[in-house]
Amino acid sequence: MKLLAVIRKSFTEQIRQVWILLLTISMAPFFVGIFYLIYKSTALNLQVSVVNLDSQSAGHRDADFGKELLRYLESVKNDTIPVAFNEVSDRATAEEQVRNKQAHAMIIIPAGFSDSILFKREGGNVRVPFELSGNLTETNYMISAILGITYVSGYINSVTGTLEPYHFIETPAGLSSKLNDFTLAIPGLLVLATIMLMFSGAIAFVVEPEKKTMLRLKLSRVRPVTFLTGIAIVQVLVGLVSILLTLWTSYLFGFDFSGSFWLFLLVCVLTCLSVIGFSLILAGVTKSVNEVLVVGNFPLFLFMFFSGTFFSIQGATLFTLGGYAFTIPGLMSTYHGTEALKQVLIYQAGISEIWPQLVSISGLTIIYFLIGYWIYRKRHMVVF
Amino acid sequence: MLNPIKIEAINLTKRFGELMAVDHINLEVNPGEILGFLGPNGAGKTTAIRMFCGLLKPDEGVVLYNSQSLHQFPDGKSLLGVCPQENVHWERLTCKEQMVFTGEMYNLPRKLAKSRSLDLLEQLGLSSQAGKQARRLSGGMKRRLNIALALVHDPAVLFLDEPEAGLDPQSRVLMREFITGLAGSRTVILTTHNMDEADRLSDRVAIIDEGKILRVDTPENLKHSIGTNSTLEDVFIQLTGKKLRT
Repeated sequence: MKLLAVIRKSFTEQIRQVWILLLTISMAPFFVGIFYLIYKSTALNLQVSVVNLDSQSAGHRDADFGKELLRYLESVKNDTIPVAFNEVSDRATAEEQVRNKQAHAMIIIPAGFSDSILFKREGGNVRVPFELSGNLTETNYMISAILGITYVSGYINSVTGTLEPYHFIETPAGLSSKLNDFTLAIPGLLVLATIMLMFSGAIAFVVEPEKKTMLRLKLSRVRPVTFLTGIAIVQVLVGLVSILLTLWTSYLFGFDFSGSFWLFLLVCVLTCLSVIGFSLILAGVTKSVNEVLVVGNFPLFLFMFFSGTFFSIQGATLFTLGGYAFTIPGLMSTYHGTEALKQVLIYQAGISEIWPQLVSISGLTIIYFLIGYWIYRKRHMVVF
Repeated sequence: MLNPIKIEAINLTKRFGELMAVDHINLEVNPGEILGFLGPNGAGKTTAIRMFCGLLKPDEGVVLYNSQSLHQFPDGKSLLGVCPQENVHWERLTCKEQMVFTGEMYNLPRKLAKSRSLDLLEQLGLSSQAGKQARRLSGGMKRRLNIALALVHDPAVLFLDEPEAGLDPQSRVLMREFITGLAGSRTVILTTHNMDEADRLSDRVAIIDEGKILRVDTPENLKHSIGTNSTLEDVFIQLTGKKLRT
């Protein structure tokens, strides 16, 4: 059977190209390690400097609400988001800490705070000018500010006996309460493992015309579809090894796998196939391994950035599919691969919830393969 | 293997833009014959061979094998074996692996492909290298491997392009004996710049230049046609001139 012979030959060549194989399967696991180190070193540990400009109320010697608020803030323990409120002697020191990133935000307890609380207790109407400060472009500032406002409001409501006419109930989506940034990055990193197939696949396809061994295949009149399918199957195997290695590395670094393994595998196989389909286009428009390595950088970055592995990108919606928005980044199959893996691994979604992503990946895979097959055959496998 | 095949090129023509690479050539190669196909660089030999093999579409004319086109011929793909001028093999496969793979591409059962591979490697002095990857072979061994690859599916027609290029004297002798042994059972078209090689191996020689066949005859007749003690090189130079080709 010719297909089996092509698979055997392609597999043998692949395992003998040790460096290409090692680089292909180890890149994503390597990035898992890098991401782990990045997130570990930037683990959320919010620091808020608090300056207390308040003093005891002149009329009530036991009323020192500024100091009391400070102690309350210092005692706060948040299980979800680690935050620490620290007293700082003056505003200048607090500002310097924010500038030096020793603190993510600063809160100024205003002078006369205790008097204001007492006045409110007696039925007066006051608005206390609390000041918050920090780098508005930093997410950590925003989180610190929200937490600061929440705790200060809670304390004031408590000491003034005020009751807000609402309260929020927080319900975590899926496993999100147990997640961290590292965990959230894993679906993208798993897709990264498939992206590397673009190079190994294109090299496997283009090496035949480059080394002129295509002549022997053309003379044998092997059907292009047989030859290309054989190589694609071997590349899927390489992709799966890389994905499983990435998953195992993630597990070693603390990633807790959940969701359907078979659905996970289906998404991975489809994503691998789509990238291999794209690699066929790449091999079709190039003539040598060197050209693949140069030309391939452009789609590599498209695949990487549009997959959301490194940055989350939202593009304009082109159309919707079962409520699933197909955006411009969605033209690259890895975008849907990442979305599907997020759903499966993080939100434990089933096939009924990720079918739009599966349809999108499958559709793009077919398109990539058809285009790739047409170009490759026309350029490299024509016989008369 | 099929019985020896008669090859006919009728009015075969190929143009590349303004260049007439092959100009209405008519050629017959008899069954079991070794035909030397000689010509200066750029004469049109390779283009003609590519059309013979179905790798290039002629602008005009046709190539017939036993009066049938390659497509009409039953199992036409197994009819031809080609040893190109450059060594064409899979660097990271062993000699045996690529022989078997090539055989399987021609629908040979794996077992038969294996036995034929070992047999051919033996005949070409490569049996001790059967398990070695092609990239680790010497230039001469690679050349012999390429001949073996052209023959693994037992073709009735064989195209050999400079088969002795890069071979040492011992290997050349082995190769000549091997090619001579093919005569009768296969139709062979041998392209070469080595006049001695053509003289020793060919039953007839065709000389081509500027896309046209200039003469076709036995080496002896060609040599006698310009005088006693003439060599095939003398004939070649007389017909194609001394002008260097690009």
